[in-house]
Amino acid sequence: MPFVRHLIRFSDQLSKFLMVISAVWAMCLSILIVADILGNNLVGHAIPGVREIVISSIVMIVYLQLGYAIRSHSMLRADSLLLVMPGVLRRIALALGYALGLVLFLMILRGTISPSVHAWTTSEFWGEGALRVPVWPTRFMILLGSALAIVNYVVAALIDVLGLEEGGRSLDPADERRG
Amino acid sequence: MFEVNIAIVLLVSLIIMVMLGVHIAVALGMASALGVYLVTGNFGVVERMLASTAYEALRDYVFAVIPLFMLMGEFIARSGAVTDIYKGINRGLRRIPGRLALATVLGNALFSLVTGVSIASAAAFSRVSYPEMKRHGYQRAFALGSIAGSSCLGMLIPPSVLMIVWGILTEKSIGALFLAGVIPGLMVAGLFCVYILGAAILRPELVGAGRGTAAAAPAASPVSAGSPPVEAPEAVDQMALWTSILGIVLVVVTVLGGIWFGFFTPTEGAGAGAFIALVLAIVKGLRFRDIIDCVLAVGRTSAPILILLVMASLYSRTLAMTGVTNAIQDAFLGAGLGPAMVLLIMIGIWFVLGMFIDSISIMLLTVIIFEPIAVSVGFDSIAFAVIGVLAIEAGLLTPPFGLLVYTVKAAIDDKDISIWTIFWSSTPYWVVLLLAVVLVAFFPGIATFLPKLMF
Repeated sequence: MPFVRHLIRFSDQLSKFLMVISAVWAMCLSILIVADILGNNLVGHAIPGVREIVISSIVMIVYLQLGYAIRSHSMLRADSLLLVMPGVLRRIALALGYALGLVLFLMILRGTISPSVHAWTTSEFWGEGALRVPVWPTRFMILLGSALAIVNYVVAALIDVLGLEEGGRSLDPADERRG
Repeated sequence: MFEVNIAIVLLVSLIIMVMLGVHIAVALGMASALGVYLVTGNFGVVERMLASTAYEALRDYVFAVIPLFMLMGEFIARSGAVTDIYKGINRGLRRIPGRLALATVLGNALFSLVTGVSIASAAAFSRVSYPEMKRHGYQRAFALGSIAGSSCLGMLIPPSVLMIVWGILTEKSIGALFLAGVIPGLMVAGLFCVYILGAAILRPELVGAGRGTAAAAPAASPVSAGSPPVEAPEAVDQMALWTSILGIVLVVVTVLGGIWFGFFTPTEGAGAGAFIALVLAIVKGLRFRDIIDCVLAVGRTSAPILILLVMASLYSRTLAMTGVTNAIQDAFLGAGLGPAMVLLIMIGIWFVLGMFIDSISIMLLTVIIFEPIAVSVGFDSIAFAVIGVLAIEAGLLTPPFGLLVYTVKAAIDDKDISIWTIFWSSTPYWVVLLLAVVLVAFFPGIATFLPKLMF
């Protein structure tokens, strides 16, 4: 299935790319916040709109990282029962889990389309005075993130349920444990 | 009985999904979607509510604290400051029995002032202090127990990701919750030390007695080969030690001091802390590549938590909308249970959940329901937060799936030690945590004293 493999490779690279961007973006936020604190205390005036930028950024960062989180098995889950299930049952449980994930983000995607169009066409803004931030980038990121989440749930199902190889990288369930 | 039926369907489907290994964020989202659908019977409403939560849930300045605090902890963890401080404490404790294990507890207490996650501490100390204890002939299980047990301090002593999540869920001041964790955290650390001292005195073979300390301690760092006293347990690079201490003190004073004295919001504190930690990491010789690794590691771990928070916000809205919270609350209160009984049931549920899922997921599933009940039977909400964190942390040390024990096991990579050995030697530590739960339940002042002083 060369087409499927290309699709997986493409979505993996896109997910990774978005994750890197958003991680660096989160890093930049800390620098921005420090600059704001320094500006406020030393020069006497804060950078306008830092609060608004940080708020918008966090929402966008999360959806940029969503695809990678799913693909890299970083999403938190209780895998203890999965580990002791016989093979067939485990595949069924995994398939069910990925299908539910797909449906959830499909619903979020469908629900977000109309507000996104509205935000774009009416140039919707929000902000508490200091800086007026357009709404559409956040909405568009949710669309992009949910779409990639859907693709990655399909990819995860192809690999974990149907046993499609993924170029040597093992899927050790122990890696999924996070606290 | 309309609400009760929906409550049962919602909770049962949630539990089934979680147990089947469905991503917890997805389980929360789908259970909520089901609940909303059962109440409204309208699929369009479900989609609109999902979309609005996806957009609104994280739109608060406070959510940035999670990635920023994690970034701070990651920078400091990788800078080698932990190793320096561990060696420093170690040197300071010469001649005290079980000093390597004590240094692990104290080092953890100190490290938890700059990190919010127990897993990070467990992994770091498995690499730093386990080889040291092994070299000095400590019983290996005892050594590993002390590492797994004391890494719990990470979640108790501020800044703690669990406290942040608790604060977000219950709409309590994060600064106040941070303060509430200080005395219980020190108390637990103290009790850990008492246990280790007691064990070291009563059973010296646990801590490698009979083997000369000085003989077993060759100088580790060639840099300081000329200057240190010969009896030093471990040669320490003074320059490195002081840089690390100074850096950590600066981070602690700026971040926690700034938040508590009202100079900073928690978000500003976390941003400043991440920045200082970055500078410390660069001073300690972290390369550009390492810094990028830190940033990516935080990206991988923080995004799933934030997604969980989005879905938890949906779940809490659904519970409120369908009246499930009230239904459960009425059932609890209607049964005429006393506060002690209520607490016992909750701790039992946390303990069982702690065997299967991680602490943040446990909070998201239970706190929204438990907190109002606890408050209505007379618990102080701040003290209850500390009780919750203690009990949930205890679950991370208990078999069969205690996460911290698995982290330690994975980090040491020693085939001879079975997971059950580590579970067994961690037992005293979770007993201490449960003891702390009882103490805070009976004397809530332990938790509420400092927050009342400041806020």
